[in-house]
Amino acid sequence: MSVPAGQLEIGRVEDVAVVRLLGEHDLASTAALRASLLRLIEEDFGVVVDCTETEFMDVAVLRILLEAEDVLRGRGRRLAVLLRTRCPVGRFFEIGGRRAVAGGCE
Amino acid sequence: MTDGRYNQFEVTVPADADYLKDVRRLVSTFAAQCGADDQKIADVVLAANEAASNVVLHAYGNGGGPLRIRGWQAEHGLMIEVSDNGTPVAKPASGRVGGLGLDLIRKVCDDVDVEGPGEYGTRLEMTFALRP
Repeated sequence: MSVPAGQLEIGRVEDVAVVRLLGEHDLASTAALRASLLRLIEEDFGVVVDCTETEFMDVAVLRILLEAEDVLRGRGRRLAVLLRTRCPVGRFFEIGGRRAVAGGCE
Repeated sequence: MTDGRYNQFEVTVPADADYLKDVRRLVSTFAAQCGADDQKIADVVLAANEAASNVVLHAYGNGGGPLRIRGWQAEHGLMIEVSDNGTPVAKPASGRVGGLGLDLIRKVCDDVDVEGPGEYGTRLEMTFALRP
């Protein structure tokens, strides 16, 4: 009955890291996401979170993004979230996440 | 899953994050069987997931415990109930981060009824209206 947790793919372009969230992400995947984001921030990367292929996201993941955004702001950098016009998590950001993650959403 | 007239289900899983995907699958199937459209199914899944996540996070200590989910179809909608028998925990703080889960639940549900946290745990009942 168990289904694998969502996956992370991390790419780097100069001083920007792109973190792709693939599949479904929830409380089960937040530890890995948090560790990856904080490590990238510590390495002084700007961060883009690519949700174009994210099939599900919840508040637990949003909390991690908000935490990362706060840390980045403290370093004078920003967190950007990439969405497609119509994507599975668009509804989630429309309901509550979009305004909580400053900037970057389309 | 059906009782002949209205759909219903009841399941108990461990209050463990690894089971959240299974909860979503179950609720999604149930909502579809009740005739919900894709957006309503997504809302039901989102709300049920948040309610279940709250149980995983707040209901029990390291020993864990059961997470119960029930769903039943009413005349003009469907109901999802998430409950636990954990001990009372601190109410989530309001503001940017705390309380986001319950805020989201209230936004996507047509009605929300919360009992607890109390001596016998917490029960959260969510109502989703469906167009006839």
